[in-house]
Amino acid sequence: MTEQEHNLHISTDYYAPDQTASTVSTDSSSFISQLSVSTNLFEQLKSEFFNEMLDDKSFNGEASKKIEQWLSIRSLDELKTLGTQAKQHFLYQGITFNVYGDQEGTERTIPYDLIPRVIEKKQWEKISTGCEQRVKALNYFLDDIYHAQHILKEGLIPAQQVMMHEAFQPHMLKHHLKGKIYSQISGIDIIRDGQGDFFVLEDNLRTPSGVSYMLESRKISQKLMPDLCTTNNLQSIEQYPMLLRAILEENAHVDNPLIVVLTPGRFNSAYYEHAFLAREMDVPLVTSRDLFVDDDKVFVKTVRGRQQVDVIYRRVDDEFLDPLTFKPDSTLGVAGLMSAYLQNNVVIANAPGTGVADDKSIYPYVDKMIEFYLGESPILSNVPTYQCRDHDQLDYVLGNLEKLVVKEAQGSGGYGMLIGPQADSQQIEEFRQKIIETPHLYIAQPTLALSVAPTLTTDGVAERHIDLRPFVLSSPYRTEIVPGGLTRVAMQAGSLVVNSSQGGGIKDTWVVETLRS
Amino acid sequence: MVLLSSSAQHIYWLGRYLFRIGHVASHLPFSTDQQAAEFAQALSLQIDDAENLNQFMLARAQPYSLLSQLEIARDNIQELRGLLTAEAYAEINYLIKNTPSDALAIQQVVEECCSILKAEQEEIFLFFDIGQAVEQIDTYFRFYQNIDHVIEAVDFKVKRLFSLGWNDLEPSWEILKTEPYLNQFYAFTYKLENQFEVHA
Repeated sequence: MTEQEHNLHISTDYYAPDQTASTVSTDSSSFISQLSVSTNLFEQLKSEFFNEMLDDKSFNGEASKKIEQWLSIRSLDELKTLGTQAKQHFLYQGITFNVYGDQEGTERTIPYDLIPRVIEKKQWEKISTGCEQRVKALNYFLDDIYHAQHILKEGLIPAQQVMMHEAFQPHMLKHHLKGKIYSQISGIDIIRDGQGDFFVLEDNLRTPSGVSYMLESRKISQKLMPDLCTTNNLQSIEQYPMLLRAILEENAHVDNPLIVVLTPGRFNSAYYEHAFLAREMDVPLVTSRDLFVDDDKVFVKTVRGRQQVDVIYRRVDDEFLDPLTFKPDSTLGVAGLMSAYLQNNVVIANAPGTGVADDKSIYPYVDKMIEFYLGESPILSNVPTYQCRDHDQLDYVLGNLEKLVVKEAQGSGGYGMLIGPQADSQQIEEFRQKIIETPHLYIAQPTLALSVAPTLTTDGVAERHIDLRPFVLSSPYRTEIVPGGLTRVAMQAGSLVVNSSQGGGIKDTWVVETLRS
Repeated sequence: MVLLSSSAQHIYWLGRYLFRIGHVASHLPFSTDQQAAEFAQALSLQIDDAENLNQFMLARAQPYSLLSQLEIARDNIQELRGLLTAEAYAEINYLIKNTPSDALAIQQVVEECCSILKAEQEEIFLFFDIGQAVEQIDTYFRFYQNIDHVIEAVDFKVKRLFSLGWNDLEPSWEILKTEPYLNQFYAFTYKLENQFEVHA
């Protein structure tokens, strides 16, 4: 083994919002000896971006120092070996996914980064209360638009934008939900900017995924770094599946409900997560084949005969839920399900029609919803958003495409997006045409200098952009959020795309009790 | 535990496939053409020489080969992912995915899978066990072997199905016991398959 292989290698790749992303190659002078890195490994990653391990002034950095020391006494090869062990663990456990459009159907594991992301408990309290506030307002909004429509009548949100939205479900009009809870499981995507301020990037209220990765990344961290995990007094997240079960029970119309997880099946890219949650909650994982409706009640076929289902945690989109109500050729849904639902004989989580609230074109109004329904100021800010459906804003967007991030209002997974500063002139022109043709389908946001965190790469420790998706659970009686969430990391140097389908990875998220020193 | 009918069916077929694979693997490799031809005929295969049959059974690309059948068994495991323990799923999935093209190794994989499933919940193993027994009877019919002792051994397990409410099975099972012929066997398996689809 050479000297270089033994030592940690600091890579200085970075992304600058106003220039094309570049990978700055490292030369031999970037290699540093183990002794010299023992106290300032992260310090050497200092760049123009907000580094969560270095730049947070509300943080005494105790946990981050311990992580730094832990890394520093290991060679790059040792760390890579741990990374390989993590990959083998994911492969062995079958924690893999298929990418849509991948003809070969290759099983991929999600890249797991050994270096955890640390959030100090007080910061976490701000994030969690901000997320709870947001989800409460979004649930009120959904109840309002399907009932009295006060917010539309007040003119705070254009009625047409809501009522004509493709995720708006007329079947849900005047249908009362227990505790007015439409989104029992919500994923709120959060980023930090160059100053370290928290922003909500988007809300996910349909079938937010990724919680299994949150739990698995903790498991593997504890396996690979047991000493580090125990010294940092981590807030636990392992209770999530049973908490989810309890929340679903509280949303039911009966005591001791039978809960099922409805999956499109094993070819779905998130099947692993569906199976994981069913197993961990100790409830059946069902496909449409297992369910049927009789007399407006939903039943599951078991070896002991039919059993009435009280709660369906569905991981199937609205349009496929019931061929009698939505897409008539859907084989993923259950004929008559909506009828049973509207008779309050079964709870569907999340409720049909919830998607209207998490659309990127509705997102700019969430601040107003918080003020309108809760009479509070938003704890977490939105990223400034330009709506292309608005003529003035459209003009601005078209004139500044090279500076903006343009997204499809209904897009997800990081697809259908233009990152202006990274795009070439042809891509910008193609997007310009698309926006001109259907402006209402697009929104635009300034390119933020997303925060970074130290990440283990093949060349050593380097900074990579990250985001955070905490999961909020809601019942008529409480709102719960386990400390942490899924930290997604853009594994490619300079990339802002954290989605797993596009090469994004994950980090364990540590909420720790270190107080300001 | 709520055991879905569809899950029970996947467990049953997993049992059948693993028995079938283990049985064929235990006869490989064939050393004489006559032996191979007789064996192939019992499986409705038109192969009459040992070398070809040996290669055929271990070829990954052949849909009827042992490795392809193991993949079908793995499909059943995928369907059972929400039901099996994480450890059982991971180990069986790993074993099957990494099975080499070797008869002895295949037998070992089958044995290990069976022992892992034996440790799962009792009701899961019941359907697995019944799948194995049904495949064993099917195999014995194909090879003109006496099935009496298999029927005797599985009788109490089938009766446990009656206690789940699968009483419709009883007449065809009783007939098979007294008239152990192929038609009666098919009548019984038809009824059994039907039970996975019906809902009271």
